[in-house]
Amino acid sequence: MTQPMPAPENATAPDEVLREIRHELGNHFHKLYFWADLVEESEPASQDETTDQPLKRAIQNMERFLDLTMAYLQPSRIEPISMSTGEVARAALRVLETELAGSEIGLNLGADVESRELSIDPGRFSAVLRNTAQALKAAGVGDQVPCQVSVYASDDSPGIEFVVAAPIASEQTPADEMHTLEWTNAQHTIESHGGSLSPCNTEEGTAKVRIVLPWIG
Amino acid sequence: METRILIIDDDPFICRQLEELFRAQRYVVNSALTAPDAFEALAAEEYSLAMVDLKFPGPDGLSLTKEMLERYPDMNVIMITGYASIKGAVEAIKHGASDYITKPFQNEEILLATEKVLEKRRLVDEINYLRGQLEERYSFANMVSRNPRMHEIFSQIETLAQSSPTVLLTGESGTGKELCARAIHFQGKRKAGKFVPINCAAFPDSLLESELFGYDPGAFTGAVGDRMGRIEDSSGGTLFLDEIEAISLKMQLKLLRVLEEREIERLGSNRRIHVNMRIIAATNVDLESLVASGQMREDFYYRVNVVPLQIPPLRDRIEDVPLLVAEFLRNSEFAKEKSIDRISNKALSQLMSHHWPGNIRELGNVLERSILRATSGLLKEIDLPVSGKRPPERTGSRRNYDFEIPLKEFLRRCEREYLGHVLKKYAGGISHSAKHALVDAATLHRKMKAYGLKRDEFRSRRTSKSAKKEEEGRQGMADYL
Repeated sequence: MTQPMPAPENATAPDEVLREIRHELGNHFHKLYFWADLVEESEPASQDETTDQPLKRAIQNMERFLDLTMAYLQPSRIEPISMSTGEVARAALRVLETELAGSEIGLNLGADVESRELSIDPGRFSAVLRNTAQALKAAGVGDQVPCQVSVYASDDSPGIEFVVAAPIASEQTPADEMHTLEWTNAQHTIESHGGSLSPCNTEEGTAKVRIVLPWIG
Repeated sequence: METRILIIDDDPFICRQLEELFRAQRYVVNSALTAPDAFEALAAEEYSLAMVDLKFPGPDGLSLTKEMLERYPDMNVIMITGYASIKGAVEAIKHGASDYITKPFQNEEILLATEKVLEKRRLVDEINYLRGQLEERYSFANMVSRNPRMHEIFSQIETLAQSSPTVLLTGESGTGKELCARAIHFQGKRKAGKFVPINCAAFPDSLLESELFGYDPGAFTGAVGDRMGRIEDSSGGTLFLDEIEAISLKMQLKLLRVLEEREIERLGSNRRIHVNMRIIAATNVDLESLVASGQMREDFYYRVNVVPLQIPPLRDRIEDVPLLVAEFLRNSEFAKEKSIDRISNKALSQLMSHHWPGNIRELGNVLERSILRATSGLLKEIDLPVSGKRPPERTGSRRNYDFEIPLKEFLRRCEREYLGHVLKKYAGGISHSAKHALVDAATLHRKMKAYGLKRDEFRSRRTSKSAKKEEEGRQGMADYL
């Protein structure tokens, strides 16, 4: 597979995303042609029900990529509802448990923030968490990704900090492991909530995804 | 009635989002994060709709949907899929889902899909409700009818059931007299007691006496034990004396005493036993002529004929034939075995052209015979006895549609036939006919002129009731089925 073209020094974030879209589309089409040719050229006698599996997978991946692209190019408006921090934290724990099946996940929820209300689009926030889990999984060691979810009042702004941390296996940050497009969409979602999303590596050897969300009112 | 929606998704955020959305629309919503929770919720309440995540863990969403719809076939299901997948959607629909939506979704999208599915469900519910209403309207204690005279009888039965006067049911053989008698008994305050029928014509006089009054040991040769008679057995309930005209004068006298004194003596005993039963008698002959000819005691006749109820023959309520056929096909074991649940128009026309001298009993026999010959799920041919064909003048009004003509011409012919029918009904009366057709008199005049219909032609004609009844009957069956 071809590597993405290096970004020009003065490239803006949207330019970078658009360049990636262009690059990824090229990759997807390249894969489609490759597998389609292979299916066409394979001897009929050697064909079985698994012959076209790679082609089908390539089509599915492209479908998913196009969905992401559409979500970036035509972002749908968020439809927030009021949820307590405790409810959000426990729901997030369940989403992460599902995504990182088998991994040990702990929750550290500050009692002082549990009943504070947040304005959240649950579906969009859940998608961000799923992306986060996948990124941590890619950055982690092996199949197990033991995570710690910490929810506490933010020092910087009136709201909460929602931090998911997992041990890392490389110098890569979770954002490096995530598709730029997915990451951009996730960031856009959290920013639409009036918050911020930032990944980082800590000196203690963990990868962190930090989400800041404001209180209601 | 409140509409219940169950959300089945392992993502609490999605459950919460949908709960909020549906509650704002005044639906009653519950969520289940696991399959056992879902089945527990379904067992506890009746849900109109379930929103199921296609990628549900454990049994996947498709298997879960299949199982749910097997257990709760009236429920609708909308699948929620992570991303658009035609294969997944087709599979979902194949498993019985009504629709599918893809994540991430906008609220309007969800509401639109939900409304569409619930609207369909509402229509199905409404059809079922109306069907139930029709059944209720046309049926009474195992009897079905849309005939006004029969409805009067149903209403009389309801009234009679609440009191205990003796009832005399008259009507031809096979019209359902025993059903009426049972209805009077089982709708009334005596339903806790026994309904004891006896066909008086089935016993010679001496046997009828022992059947009715019972006997003590030694009452006659062979009477080794004692036996309770039908009258005593019916005490607290109803005694149904069918074919009462067959009772001899001597027996009439004995029964007269029972009717007057409510006491009996068993054969071979002089012990008086008090009885408290209601008597319903039935006959298919004119009892007054029997009284006139001396074959029935006048005092007995008046004792029996306290409340007369005449059941019309089937030919006088021919519009009930489609309902009776539908009821028969629904209840007949033969029909169920052969999966016959419909009847062709041709077969129905045959049935409605018949004179039915044997009434409903004959109709049942004819249908049974025809079902035995039928091979498919549709009753196509009717095996009618030749003797019962309706007289020719009655069949003259049968409609004969020609479907090979253009629609415009077809409608023109229908309109002409309709106007002819209405004018005939009102003997050419313009104002009545116009009122019936809900058009003004000038319009009626114009149409009569266009179709060459002249008032004088209808002034002397007799109204054909049978044509009207047939038309009503067809409509009735369409409603009922």
